[in-house]
Amino acid sequence: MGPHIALWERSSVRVKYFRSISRTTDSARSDCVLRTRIIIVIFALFTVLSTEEAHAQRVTIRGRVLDADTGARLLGATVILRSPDATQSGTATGPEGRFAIPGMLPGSYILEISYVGYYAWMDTIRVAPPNDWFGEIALEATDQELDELIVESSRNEDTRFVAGLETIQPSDLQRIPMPDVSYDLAGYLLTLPGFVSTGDRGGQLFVRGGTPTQNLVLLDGMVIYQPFHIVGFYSAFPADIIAYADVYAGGFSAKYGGRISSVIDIVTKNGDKQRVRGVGTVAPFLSGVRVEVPISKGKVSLLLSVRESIIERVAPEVLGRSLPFHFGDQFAKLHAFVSPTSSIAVTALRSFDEGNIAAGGATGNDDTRRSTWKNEAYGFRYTYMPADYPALVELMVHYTRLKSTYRFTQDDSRKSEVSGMSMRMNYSYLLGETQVHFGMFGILNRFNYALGLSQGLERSATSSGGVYITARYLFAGVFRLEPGFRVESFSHGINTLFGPRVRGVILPSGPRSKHQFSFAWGRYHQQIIGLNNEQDVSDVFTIWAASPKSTPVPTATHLITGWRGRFFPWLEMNVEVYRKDLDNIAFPVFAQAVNRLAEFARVEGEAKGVDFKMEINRPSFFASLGYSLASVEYFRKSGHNVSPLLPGVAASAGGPEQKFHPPHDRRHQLNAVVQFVRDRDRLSVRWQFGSGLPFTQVNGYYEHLPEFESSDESYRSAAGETFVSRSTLYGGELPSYHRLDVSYEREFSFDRTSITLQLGVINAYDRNNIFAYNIFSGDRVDQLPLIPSVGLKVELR
Amino acid sequence: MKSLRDISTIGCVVLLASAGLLGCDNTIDPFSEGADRVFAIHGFLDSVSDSQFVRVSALRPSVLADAPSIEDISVISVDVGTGEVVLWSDSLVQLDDGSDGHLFHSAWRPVPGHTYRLEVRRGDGEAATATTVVPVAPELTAGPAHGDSLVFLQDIVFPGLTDAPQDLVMKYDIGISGNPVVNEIEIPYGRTGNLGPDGWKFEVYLKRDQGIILQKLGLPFDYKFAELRSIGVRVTIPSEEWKQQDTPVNLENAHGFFGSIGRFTLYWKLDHDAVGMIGMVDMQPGG
Repeated sequence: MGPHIALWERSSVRVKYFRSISRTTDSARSDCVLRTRIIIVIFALFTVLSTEEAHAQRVTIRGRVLDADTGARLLGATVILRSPDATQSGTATGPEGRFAIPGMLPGSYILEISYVGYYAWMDTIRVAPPNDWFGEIALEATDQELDELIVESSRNEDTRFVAGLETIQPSDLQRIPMPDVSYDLAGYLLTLPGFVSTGDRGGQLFVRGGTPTQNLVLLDGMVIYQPFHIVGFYSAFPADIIAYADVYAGGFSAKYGGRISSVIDIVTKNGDKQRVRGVGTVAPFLSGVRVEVPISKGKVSLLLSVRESIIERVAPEVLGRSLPFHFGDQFAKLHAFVSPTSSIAVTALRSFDEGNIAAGGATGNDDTRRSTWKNEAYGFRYTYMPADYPALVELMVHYTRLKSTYRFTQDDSRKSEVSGMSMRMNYSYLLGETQVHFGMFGILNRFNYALGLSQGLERSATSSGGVYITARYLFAGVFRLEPGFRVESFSHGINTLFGPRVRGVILPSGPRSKHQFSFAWGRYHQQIIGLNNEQDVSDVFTIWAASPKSTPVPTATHLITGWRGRFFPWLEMNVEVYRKDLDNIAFPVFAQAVNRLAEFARVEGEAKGVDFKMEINRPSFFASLGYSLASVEYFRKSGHNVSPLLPGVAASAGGPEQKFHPPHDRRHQLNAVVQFVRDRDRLSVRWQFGSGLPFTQVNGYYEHLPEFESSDESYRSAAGETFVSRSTLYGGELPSYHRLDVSYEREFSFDRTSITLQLGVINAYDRNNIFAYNIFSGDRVDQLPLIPSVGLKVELR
Repeated sequence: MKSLRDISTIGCVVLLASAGLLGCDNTIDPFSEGADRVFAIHGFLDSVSDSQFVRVSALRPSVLADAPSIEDISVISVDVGTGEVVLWSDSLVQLDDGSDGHLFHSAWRPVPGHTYRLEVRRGDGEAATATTVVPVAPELTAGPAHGDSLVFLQDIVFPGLTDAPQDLVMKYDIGISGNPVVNEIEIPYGRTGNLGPDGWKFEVYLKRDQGIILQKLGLPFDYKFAELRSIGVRVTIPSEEWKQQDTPVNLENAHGFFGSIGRFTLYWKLDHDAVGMIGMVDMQPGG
């Protein structure tokens, strides 16, 4: 049987993915669908019954799923193959929209393909050896109204919440109110339980006890060292280029390495290959343009996006206060089908940020401070999926760089630069539910940093290489196990690291189980460390360098267990219990002298907690409630601080054993999101609450005299150096944080053009949420005040 | 428009409900509860001085603020063993940077081996304290002198002493033939020696010291009639606190440094032949 291409007639299979919506909104159409299905099933049953079962030879059913209009390959589409005896097999499309279901007996089957925002596709197929079946299925996008309904209901039900993993679709992001007509991944992440930010500036994200430098953020496989803008609810890349994002709060698989806390793996979409599309947005924080151009129709597309902030220009006049943050980004992606079985993609991202994170205090004592950073990332990906073999091969080459500076005082300016060149090859063997993923990689990193105050430039480089393998087995249709391991070797004198991982899902009643239990365990290492002064939230300057060989590399062991219950199609609950054991973490130690660079000590840590999330999905109503109960505790052992961490970075002089809760230890966090949709109107409300973060109270300041001898009477009159006297380490608690954001949107459609008008307000009740408190000057800096916003988006569809 | 009105209504309800949260406490107290009990203390007790000094200041609430007044505080020292209390007097001194400082003093001499607690007490009874044990005199063992006419040494050991004495000063009592006056010659050695199996050990450079003595007395280097009346060493033994001045553990509600020193002069008898080797006349008691 040759390639089978079928685009179901829209009139006959306008099957909505979310069946309950279909019933309520278009019962006649649903009846039609139901009848069609019954006929197909009967037909298939008849066909299969008439087929000789004697065929011992088995075949593979493979295919590719495309967007009917643009030709874009649809990744993550659900593929279900039903046999007449009511058994079913299923999988999801991988990169390039491909799928494969091997080991099928000859006969007739019903093949169903569904995907978010598209009409479902169904057909009866007949397979007979010796030929495998291959089909290219084009799905037709739903109209806008249906798209919104589907947005609320669409889920990859089996994998959305699994032991630390949440798969985020662009439609999820649209629920979060932003001071902008566009949406953003960063804003969404901050609504997830276990994701903590110390404020709305600085772009620092702490995931289940981990620190920002322990998060691995990948954009099309490229490592983004500083993935968030200086105004923390914006990512360094626009959300409307995102196809989906896999967010691992922990327990990630062997495919990922080099970080010990979390993984945010973002896959961008390809540009439209059929027609020109464009979007322009104007909003007070960030305005931008996105253009999709088919360079060669159906084969090559280019996606371009440019964004830049204007808040620093409009704030003084509109808000009557200064918001000295300037940031922006540019993104480009060229995607081309080289052949029916292979494609290439070239991706580039540049972003910049500049501002004074400490700005806003009453006295302006910190006006000299200025943080800047620039991301650059360039990537090439070649994907090949043989037509006659259930495998996928990827070859990727990436180059990324982060340059950052921090001017602390006029004569103290610090610089850091990290760059990385990597080459990776991934090989996936797809046998339906059983899959094997294997990969190898080589990475070359260079580091430069200078710590100011006349300290010289430190340069270093390291290379590493390794392999990973992870497999996926399904036992009896109820237990899916994903064991794997990762091995990595280094040129820098660090011992070869071995990271075993395992993830598992139990579906007691099979794929349609109302209850799902999952777990993940793994051991993780971070050979490239980022040191920053976590004690000062306004100081996000980070030194990146290879972990010194004299010091053990930071290591973490994760354990996650989770339960997901789906009591009704519109109600889902998820509970996860986690624990992360952390070893050899570099943590800044307070210098007693005022204005002295932080010293670092090595600590061990323990992060544990419970995350709860409940979602209600109705056609015109969405609500999400997330609660996180967490505890992070660090242990500083005596004598654990003698090894120099990095050249030029002072190691703590020692001291007694200490236990303390670091400044990102948020005990309680509550996020509530509600969205109402009526016709073309959309009202989104988000309320966040976070209990106070720990901080160290002070007793006051005194003149500390240098060491003296008994023969020296200078202590009676010497002036000394100003030291700060601190109370119990992190024994105080900052005020709790809570904020309400509201956004209203209305869309006006004109043929191929739509205009969206957005009205919003950030921090609606003008809560003075503390961001930083300068204990030296008594200057308090609050997070963003009430900021009204008006946004306009014009989209050429 | 009905849908718009619905959404507006819902929005208003949410806003009004949220407005109730405005009253939440949002203040930050950067100071710990007992911040006003904390003082900075710098000073030490000296076992051979009749006057003791310690500098005390209250903590400032900010870097740029002036130090608060401490006129209502009292400073006492308590002999923990005997319970004897000494009240210290305040004196205002001008510091090197021109500002004023409080130097407390008292006229007494601490006893080696005794434990003393310094208390800086506010009017409300809250106190910062610092405790020290005044070191006791070490034992001394003198080894045989050895060497030649150019380098002639003697090993001195303080058995049981594991840390370097803060200061070593050799003391020679020297007489000159026909003159009843005894000249006390001190030759500073500073911190010297090393830790041996029996205790802290240092070498006395007898021949070199002889030259220094003659020089100080204005005698020619080949003068043969200098009389050695006694030989000894003044040793300054610091208390434990001196080892960790940056991370003191003996202070409660206080920063800075508070310790003590014991100053002792220990004598021994130099061998008769050794006295002759350094070109002196042995006039030591029993010599």
